[in-house]
Amino acid sequence: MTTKRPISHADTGNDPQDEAIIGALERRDESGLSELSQKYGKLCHHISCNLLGRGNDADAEECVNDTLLAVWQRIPPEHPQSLSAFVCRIIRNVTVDRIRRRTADKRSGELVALTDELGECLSAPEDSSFPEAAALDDALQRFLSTLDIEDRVLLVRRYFHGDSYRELADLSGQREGSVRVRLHRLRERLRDYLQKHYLFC
Amino acid sequence: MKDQKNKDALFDAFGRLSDGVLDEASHYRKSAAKKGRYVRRTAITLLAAALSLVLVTVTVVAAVPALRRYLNLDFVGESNRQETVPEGWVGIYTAEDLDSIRNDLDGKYILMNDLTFSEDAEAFTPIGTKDAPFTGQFDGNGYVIRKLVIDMTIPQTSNILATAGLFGYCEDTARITTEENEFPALWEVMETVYGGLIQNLGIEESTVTVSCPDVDTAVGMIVGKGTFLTACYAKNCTLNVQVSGSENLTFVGTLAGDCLLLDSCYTTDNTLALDYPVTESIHVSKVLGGLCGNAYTVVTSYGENNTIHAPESTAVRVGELGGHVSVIPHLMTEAQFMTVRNNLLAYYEGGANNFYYKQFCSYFLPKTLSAWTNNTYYYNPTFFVGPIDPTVTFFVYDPTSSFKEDLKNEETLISSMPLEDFTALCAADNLKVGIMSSYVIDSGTAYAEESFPEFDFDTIWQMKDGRPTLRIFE
Repeated sequence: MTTKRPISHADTGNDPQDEAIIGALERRDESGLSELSQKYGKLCHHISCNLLGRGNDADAEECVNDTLLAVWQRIPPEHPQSLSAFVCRIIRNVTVDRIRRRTADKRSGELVALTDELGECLSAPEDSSFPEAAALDDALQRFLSTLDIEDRVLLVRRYFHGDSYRELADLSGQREGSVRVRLHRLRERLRDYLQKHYLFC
Repeated sequence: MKDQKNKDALFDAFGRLSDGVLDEASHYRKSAAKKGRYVRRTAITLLAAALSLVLVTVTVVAAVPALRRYLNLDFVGESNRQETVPEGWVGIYTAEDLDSIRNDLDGKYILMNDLTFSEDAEAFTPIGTKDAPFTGQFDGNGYVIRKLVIDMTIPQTSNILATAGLFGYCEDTARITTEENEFPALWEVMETVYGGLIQNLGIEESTVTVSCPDVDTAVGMIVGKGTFLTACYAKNCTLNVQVSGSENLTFVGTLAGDCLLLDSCYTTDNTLALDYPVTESIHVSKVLGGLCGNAYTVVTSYGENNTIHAPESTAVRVGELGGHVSVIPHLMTEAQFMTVRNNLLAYYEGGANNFYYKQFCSYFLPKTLSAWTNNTYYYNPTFFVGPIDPTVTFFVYDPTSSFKEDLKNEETLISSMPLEDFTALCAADNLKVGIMSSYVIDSGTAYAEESFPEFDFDTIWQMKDGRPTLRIFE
């Protein structure tokens, strides 16, 4: 039987290489950017491609470049506690912003699919009482803390990283169909959690 | 637009998760997951051994009569009413008894006399919902329910599926919660047989009226979203469904809005009507049928003089028997599954869209008699009639696949293999698929047995006034 594992703050924090990168950036040493690109470039490209969809390598490359520029511009004054999370957030936001600027007929099918799946978590999508961002962030964070690690990772890899079901199957060692069912049930639980604790109906 | 805005808001919230959560996901490695899976598989094996079941997978050979009987889902067998309530069943004598079924949704119930609702009776609330489905069995025992009235206005804040009928929502497996990731004992689910089975029930002069927001909807006289219906009929009934939007799926059928199997049933002189604001759409989202809206298999059944009113639109699909009946079986043998899969592989090697191939193949989930992958669903080994071979593996079509996915998979299958070839392949293993041996008959014509060659006139049907009727009701 697997047990629920709380998220430990000891899990966050930078390794020595990350700290070295941050230090270089703070000194405006461009080798920091090279190091950053080497360590996180592939992950950034992966996240961007997940959201943009196949055949958008050029766009993904541009998003990665925009991300590196954003990191350069934000460090300093920022000194992220987790460089990995910091970079991942930026690439995701940059990519999503790019997609949303497109006209409706050029929207990414992958992003549409992901948001449509999350639509199942909304019991009343038309309801005007949908919470403000801060309350929603709190709700989501609390919900994730109730899950065991496997479920939490599946949700985050799917809706933050945009990993495909095949990738999630490989990651978790389950069959693709099992992952689909599991995520479906997790979305139902999130919906019920939001309804119960945050009166989103 | 607010819908999309809220979806985007939730998607964006994932982008603001804490460092700890994001790092945990980024650094996660599958070795931990594999160990967990191994532990669960070991638990399955130990429990199975304790129950004298051996988990060995073998290739199914065509000459296994027990398997054929299961895949044929031969529920229908009784041609005479039960005079006394069988042991383990609950007798239903009154409308109050019928209503009380909702207090035990896993029970087995048998109707012991005709039920006629009074004119001033309150509208009946469907039994079973998506959150609390009916997983038991209901045997109409050859009796008839008359003047049942269901009149529902589903609130705007409703959940994602609205169902209406005598039974709202039925499910064919025990729902096992895995919230604590505990592995339930197999014996806890041994009694779940043919969950949601409704048989030998007639319904006449009854009405279902539903008004609902733009959510997925399934409406039928006997069941909204069901599993198995056998030896049932509906006569002089009216279904009116009004949906306020056009985006979501609506299944409307005289007997069932949506079901897995409909066997040896008929409908006569019923009226179905659907109203919704029509918009231009290339996707089928409104499905109506004289027997059922959507189903996997309809066999040895017929419809007569049913009237269906629905707006003219490419989004609407109407059938005199089934609005849509799948060409892909709910269950299939390994041999059939591999044949279909191999045909698809050959098709996609030509460079077709790999995305569809991946989706299609993932919808066929191998299943043993003891457990299914994520421990979410279980099938009872006593499904098999006669000698039981507990080592047989069969394949079930993904019950979580969406209607759009079903339609796309059917297109894919038909493009790789002629439908008549696939049907013949299934028939060779005595597997029922799609609409088989079912007819639309004309009110003004008197028919003979010869017009219904596959109907079982020895035990299930008889001819009366020039058309087949079910023996158990006579």
